[in-house]
Amino acid sequence: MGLVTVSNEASLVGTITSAGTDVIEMPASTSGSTTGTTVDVGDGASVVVAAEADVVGGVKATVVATVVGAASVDATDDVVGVVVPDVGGAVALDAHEAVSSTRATRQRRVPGNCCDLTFDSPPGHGTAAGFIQSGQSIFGQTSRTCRQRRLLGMTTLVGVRTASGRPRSVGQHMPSKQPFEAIVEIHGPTVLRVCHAIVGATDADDAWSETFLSAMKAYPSLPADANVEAWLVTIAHRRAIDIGRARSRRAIPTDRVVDRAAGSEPAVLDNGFDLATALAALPDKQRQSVAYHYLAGLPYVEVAAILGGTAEAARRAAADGIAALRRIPISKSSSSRPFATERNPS
Amino acid sequence: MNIEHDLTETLQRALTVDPDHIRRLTDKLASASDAEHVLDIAYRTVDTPVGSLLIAATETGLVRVAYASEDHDQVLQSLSDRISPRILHHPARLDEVARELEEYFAHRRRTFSIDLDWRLSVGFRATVLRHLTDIDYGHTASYAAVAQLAGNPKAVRAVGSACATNPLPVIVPCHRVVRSDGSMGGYLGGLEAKATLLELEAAA
Repeated sequence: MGLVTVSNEASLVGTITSAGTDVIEMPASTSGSTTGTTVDVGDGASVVVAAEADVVGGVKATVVATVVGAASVDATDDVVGVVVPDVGGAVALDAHEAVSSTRATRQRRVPGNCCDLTFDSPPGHGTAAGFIQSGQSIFGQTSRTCRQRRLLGMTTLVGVRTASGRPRSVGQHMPSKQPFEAIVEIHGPTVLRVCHAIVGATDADDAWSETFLSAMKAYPSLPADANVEAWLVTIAHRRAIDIGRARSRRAIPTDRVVDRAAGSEPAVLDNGFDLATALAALPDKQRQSVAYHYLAGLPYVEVAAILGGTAEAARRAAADGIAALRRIPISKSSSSRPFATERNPS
Repeated sequence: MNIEHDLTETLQRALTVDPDHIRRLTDKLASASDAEHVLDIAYRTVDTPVGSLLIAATETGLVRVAYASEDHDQVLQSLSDRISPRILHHPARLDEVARELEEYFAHRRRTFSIDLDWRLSVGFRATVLRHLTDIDYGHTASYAAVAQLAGNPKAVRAVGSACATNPLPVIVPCHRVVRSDGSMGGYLGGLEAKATLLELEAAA
């Protein structure tokens, strides 16, 4: 339950309204004491209150606190966010980066220790939103004097989104990019299928590994709003070409039976037909178009961006590929024809 | 029925992917990326008497220890935002940390000798945290005493917030900081965890 004891020296003027909008307003000139003030913030929420707001004279500081589980907290605990409205045109944060907006009017709580803050700026200044995270510092700075004032040694803005929508990092990091592990988890299976379809079972693992290693190297510079799957498929496409070239250099006579390397696992194909073989027999463009559109789910525009040519050409290549796959013979152990058309004979 | 959807399903069925296989590939990726110095943060979890702890290390050293109550997914996201998104589960980098923690919880270790990466604490907080190791195993100090140790006797409250945001709990012993009146004060891992650690050290 969210009973919070405020034991700082600042006076408390506002109230915490609910678990969702945890806003307390404090006047900058700290007169009186709030020690012992108790604020009810509702179920499951506890709010931490700024303890040592050494605020620029005459400026109101809005302290945004966030829910930190059901833990009870006091003023010696963490403050999760702070916004400084009206500090003469700039709020400088952490790495002394200025934000061109000044007034925070809206706060949105996001899960965890993060507060997502929207700044509404005066006319002509654009809009910025900041992500404040516990554990670092925030500084208020007046644009005229550039005199740095320490507001709270407890919070920081880790990223800023400008009116143009382009995220801008404060310090060196952008907010909200998933850990790479999540990327592997989410896209790993699809990328493996694509690799399998493009380079075959034997080389699929290598293609997958090289794709993700390349992707990991480039991941920090990938824009946060990029289409990750299309990006990965593009990398897989290039790695597959490399592998294809390497393989043709060490090509073996075709009359030898292809022996699968020990330990490599050919995909088990259901319905008794070897789709991988059928795919492998398709011309490159058709096979790639089928894989990128049907397996990776990329629209033809994206497929065309990877393969070159037009979206219409990619669509035709995929259609031709599917038509060819439909012509492959029915296997003896299979009761259904792969890619049977919709006309079921029931 | 949607023909495109059926085609996709047929292809996916035909090219089956075994989750264990993906896991093995991911493990290999972690090793390969570590070898190529692109694994900025390796992490694992360890089971301890104070619950599951997430431990994460950069190439410099241990950078984060997190209680389950901090929500490990959130902790990883925060590391991604603040340090680098190149994060993978890779226990090998944390073998030594896990071993020392195990010894600590088994009463066989009083100090830790692992490399630490302090980059998540800055300013006065960092000063405070670096002084916490001055408090010996099995002993406690008040917030005021730590403020004095850190060179700013007035900054009692800042000591509290430094402890509350300690990125390396257990290893950097903020659990040894208590109130002047002898009561425990707060703890980022919960009071139960603080009590467990203090009892463990008292019993040694």
